[in-house]
Amino acid sequence: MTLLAPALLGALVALPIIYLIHFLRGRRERATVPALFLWADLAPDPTGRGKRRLPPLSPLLLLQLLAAALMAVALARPATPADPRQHLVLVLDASASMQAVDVPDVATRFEAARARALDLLGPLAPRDIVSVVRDGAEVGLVADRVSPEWARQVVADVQPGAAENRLGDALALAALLAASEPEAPGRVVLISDGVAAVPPMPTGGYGVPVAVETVTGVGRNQALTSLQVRAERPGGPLRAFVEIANYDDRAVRVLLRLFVGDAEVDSRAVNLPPLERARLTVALPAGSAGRIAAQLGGRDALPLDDRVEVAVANTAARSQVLLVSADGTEGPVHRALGAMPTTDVLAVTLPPDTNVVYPPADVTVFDGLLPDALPPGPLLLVRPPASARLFAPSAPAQQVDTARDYHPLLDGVDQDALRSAPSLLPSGTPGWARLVLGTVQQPLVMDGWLDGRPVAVLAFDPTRSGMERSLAFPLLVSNALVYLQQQVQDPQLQPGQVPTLPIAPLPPGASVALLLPEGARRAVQVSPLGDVVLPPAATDAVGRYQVVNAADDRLLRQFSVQLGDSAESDTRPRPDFAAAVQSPGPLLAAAETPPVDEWWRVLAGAALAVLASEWLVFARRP
Amino acid sequence: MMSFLRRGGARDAGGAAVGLLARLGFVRRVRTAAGMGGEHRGRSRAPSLDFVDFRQYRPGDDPRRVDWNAYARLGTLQVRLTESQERQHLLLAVDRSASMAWGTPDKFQYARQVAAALGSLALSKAESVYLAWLPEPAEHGPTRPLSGRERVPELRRLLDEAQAGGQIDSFGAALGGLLARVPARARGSAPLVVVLSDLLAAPDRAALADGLDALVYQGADVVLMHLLSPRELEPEALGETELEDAESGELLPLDVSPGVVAQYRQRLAAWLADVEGACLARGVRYVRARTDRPLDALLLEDLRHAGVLR
Repeated sequence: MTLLAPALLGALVALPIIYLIHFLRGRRERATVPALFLWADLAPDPTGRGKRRLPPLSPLLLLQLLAAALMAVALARPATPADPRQHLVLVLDASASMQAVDVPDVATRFEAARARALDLLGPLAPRDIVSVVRDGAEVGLVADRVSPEWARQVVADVQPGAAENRLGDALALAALLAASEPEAPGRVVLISDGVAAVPPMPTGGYGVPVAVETVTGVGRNQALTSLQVRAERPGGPLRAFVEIANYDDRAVRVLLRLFVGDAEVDSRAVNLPPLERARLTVALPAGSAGRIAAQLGGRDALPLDDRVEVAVANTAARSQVLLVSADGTEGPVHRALGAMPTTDVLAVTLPPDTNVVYPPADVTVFDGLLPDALPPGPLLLVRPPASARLFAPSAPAQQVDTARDYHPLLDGVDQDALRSAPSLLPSGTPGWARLVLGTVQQPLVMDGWLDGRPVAVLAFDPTRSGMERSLAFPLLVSNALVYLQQQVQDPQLQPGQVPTLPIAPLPPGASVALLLPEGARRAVQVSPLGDVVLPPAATDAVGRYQVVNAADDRLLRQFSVQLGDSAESDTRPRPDFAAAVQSPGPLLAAAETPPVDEWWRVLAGAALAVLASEWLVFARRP
Repeated sequence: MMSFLRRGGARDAGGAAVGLLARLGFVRRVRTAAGMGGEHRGRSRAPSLDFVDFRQYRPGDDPRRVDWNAYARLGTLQVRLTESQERQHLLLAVDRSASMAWGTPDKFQYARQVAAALGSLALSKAESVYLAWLPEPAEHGPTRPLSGRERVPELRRLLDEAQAGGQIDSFGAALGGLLARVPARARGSAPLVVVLSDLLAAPDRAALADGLDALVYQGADVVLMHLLSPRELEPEALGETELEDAESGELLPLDVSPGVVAQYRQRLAAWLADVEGACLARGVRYVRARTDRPLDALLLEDLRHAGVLR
């Protein structure tokens, strides 16, 4: 026991002061005598040595002395030596590879990581603090400086995802947390299987010790990395192009099964050399459409990548595009459409004020004009007239001020070349559209839903801007056609991708729910533009997702998430991972004052309790 | 409940003290008038078989009382004088004021033990015993006499049930009214009145003198037993103290120093001398009793020495 402020023990002088007050001002002791007349009018002691009685040790005096003593000792801050507090920051790798089932005695690598995390929490004292970071598609702080007991519950509840992790961000967050408690030196422990790119070490290191606990198995895994379904020719039979990767250092023989819908249409054994890929083509029955899936048989390390599913619609037909323009077949749009091998273009010229019945088409392209009556189905609007009713800006400019970084319309397109083109539209975006490229003042590419149909807008003149002579324009047109047709089909996503899903306009006040592959139901928001806004990491599981009207479960959109060609499929152990990630951290200077447990709070509380008792005694005295 | 009488009466339950006590009797300074037969000699000469003396015949004497044998020997007429054996009356007046319930043992308890002993002795001598309280309880009626040995338990019960409390407003009036509580025949036979009190209700001599005079003038034979606690006689120097009157509750802040205690003792001695002088002046037997004095010592020594018992 030591005193951190021994000088304040001087407060003990309050004890004799209290006693002196009782001595000087205390009530006289009362003594009963049979009669007073024998005592009355007696002269005071002539010697002047009247005997002043010491105050009796009444409960009041004793309680006051005790309270004063407790307060004085509390002021002196008594303390006992204590172990230093620890701040343990656990980083749990929640990537897809952690769902590998190649660790003996446990279900998955993540279960082994969970057990290791609980082992690390076991020796901690109740006064220690723990933070837990989930390293998945999003870096999530699932426990922020909590007690070890609470952290145990959090670790027990954390689940792995199917996406790649973001180890660099996770370690940076963990390092910040570990350094956030000056009184509790922090350390970071990453529990991972090492199937991740080693992030670059920050300049000067993490600033805290970083250790790596590796949980891994043999990592013998095969994965379906690609499934493409195409027609050999327009209207011809479908062929499935399948790619299988072998991440094992041994040659293996796997069973490949193909399904159309729920019906198995093909099954074959495939020999896979060590660490090689095999590509094969499988002819599908004529008329195959809908969901087509490939499935690997047998048992490997990671079941997540053993199935791929695609949706095929109208695969037997070529894309029929109706081009409506004032230029007929002479414009750059016609030339771009004509260069697409699986597209049949029907070009018509149409005066702006003519009412016609449009022939059916998969996509209708308006080039340089926009009639009031529009055909059903997806629309691609090129060089739209600025005076068109559809482009009256209705959204305040400040609501949409930046374009998105990535959009399927821009896949592979030189955006710098596009940005140099002047916009034909007035500033601002119409209420049904959203900006894809450009600025609010100069919108260049937009998309949206208009009366239940997907619409893409190329708001520049490819001829005047010189775009017609570059590869960007035909690529943009091709992307637009594919994108518009996909909007009416099922999108294919990788785990962790957060898609923007335009849906048909809903009645005011309607709400939307997302049905996850495992059957869970999550409420999602719909933006004013009609996009389903999925929450972060909503697609962190492999399987089929459905967007339904929350009121009646009417299917609005659906999409599938599958691992595909992901680095997560290569589940082999990385022996050098731990050495590359872990960091000893800076040498910690010895603490100037050793850690102690202070008792002043207990003593002060006891003093208050004694004072309360003293008040009761005082209030009840006769 | 173990009463104080049984505790204090352990000695008179058997043993030498009881035997001695049984042989004691009250000493009367005033002869009783002739009346009911008893064991005490009467104050008047009355026809009886108890010969006392001769005297010269005077005209008017009953010729039947002339001793003719003496006339034959002496040649003068001598009359035989005889005396009567009369019943005596004992009035026990016990102070039960609040100040009596003070001290260790308290004075009231000691007074009841003394009263029980004296009353039992009187009843064993075929005397009539009256019990009176100072102050008298409000619901108390006329004092009933107790006679005969068989009334000893009743006497003890009456003493046992009494409670100390109250205050004597006028000690003189209280003493003066004692005889009014007993029957007229008892008043006329010079009863023995034993007052057991701490006399704190009579702080000045006048108050005490009034009471004693009232009793004496009514023909009573008065014994005043002044009960004092050792702590009254020898108080401690308590220092700064708030003295509280046991009866009135009045408070007196006082530094009870040794010097003050010395003054108290002087005042107490003067008061005691004053009381004793007042008694002597009126022919009242005065007995001062400390409550730590053993009861048998008080009865067999102090009261015999004071001429109350013999």
